[in-house]
Amino acid sequence: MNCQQTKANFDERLDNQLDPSSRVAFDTHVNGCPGCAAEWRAYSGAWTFVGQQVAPKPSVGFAERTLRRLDETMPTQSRFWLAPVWRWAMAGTLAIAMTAGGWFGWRVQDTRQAEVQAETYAMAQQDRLEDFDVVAALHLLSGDSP
Amino acid sequence: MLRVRRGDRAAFRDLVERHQRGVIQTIYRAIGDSWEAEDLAQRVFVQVWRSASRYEPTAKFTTWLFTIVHNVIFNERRRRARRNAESLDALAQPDEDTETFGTQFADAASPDPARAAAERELQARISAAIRRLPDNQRTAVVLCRFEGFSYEEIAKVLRCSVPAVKSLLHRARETLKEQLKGCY
Repeated sequence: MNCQQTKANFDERLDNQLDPSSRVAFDTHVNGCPGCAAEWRAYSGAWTFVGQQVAPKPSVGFAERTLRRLDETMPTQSRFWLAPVWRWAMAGTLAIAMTAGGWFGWRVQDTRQAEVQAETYAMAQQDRLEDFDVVAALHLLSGDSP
Repeated sequence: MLRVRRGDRAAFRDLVERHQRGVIQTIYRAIGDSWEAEDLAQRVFVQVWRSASRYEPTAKFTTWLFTIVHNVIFNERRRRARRNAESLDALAQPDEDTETFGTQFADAASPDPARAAAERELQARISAAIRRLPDNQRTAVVLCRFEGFSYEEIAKVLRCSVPAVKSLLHRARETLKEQLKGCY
């Protein structure tokens, strides 16, 4: 491995992405080349140094506060009647109610239709009788038998 | 996460407890304010709860989670820039919170005031150097250095290719090397 190849592999070496043979070649070159060794020390040293940054741990009760915030931002989610099991129950009840309502409406409509038909038939019969009476009266007046 | 998708709050609580450290610290490294970091982390977890139905079990959860973290940080920094609440210079300077936190850390590690001050100064310089990086470079550095993400996972979070991630990391390392010269 020459200097150019070594420098091109700085990132892979830092991230342990080199295969074992390439790693040996990399380390051998760096150990024997003062220029690459200096550059490698600076490059890897900065990375190691960055790793020393300390960040705060979560404060006590963070999870509880997050759940409370969930309730504040989504108030409806906390209502028991919107829990999944209740939502399914309500959806089922609504579906049954709509089906029953539809069936009842259809029955009422059917009955009403039958009544109208019967009424119409009765009226037609009545009209026919009345027509018959007129015809009979005409026959009587003219002296013919019907 | 599958239980969270079904609306299981106990599972959600477990999930928060398991990932709170990584989320808060990642945001802290970008924002530099521990209170703000916790506030934004809560926003991230609320977003996780709301978007749980869209989570595909084929995707690794941490990749999905840190995509949300990256977006929240990006939006927050954009909001700050828009409102001019903090100038870029102020963002790069060690803020009061960083110093306070550094003091607490240093005091816990060493009772020597001079050493504590030196430690505080080093922490401030590292924090400032990381915060000065462009968004994608900083996310790549934080995920690689502190969260142990692979190149492929970082690529998924940033929605870019693996070579692009390598390039981001290389440029970030060169910048950090220059900015932290003489510190190590």
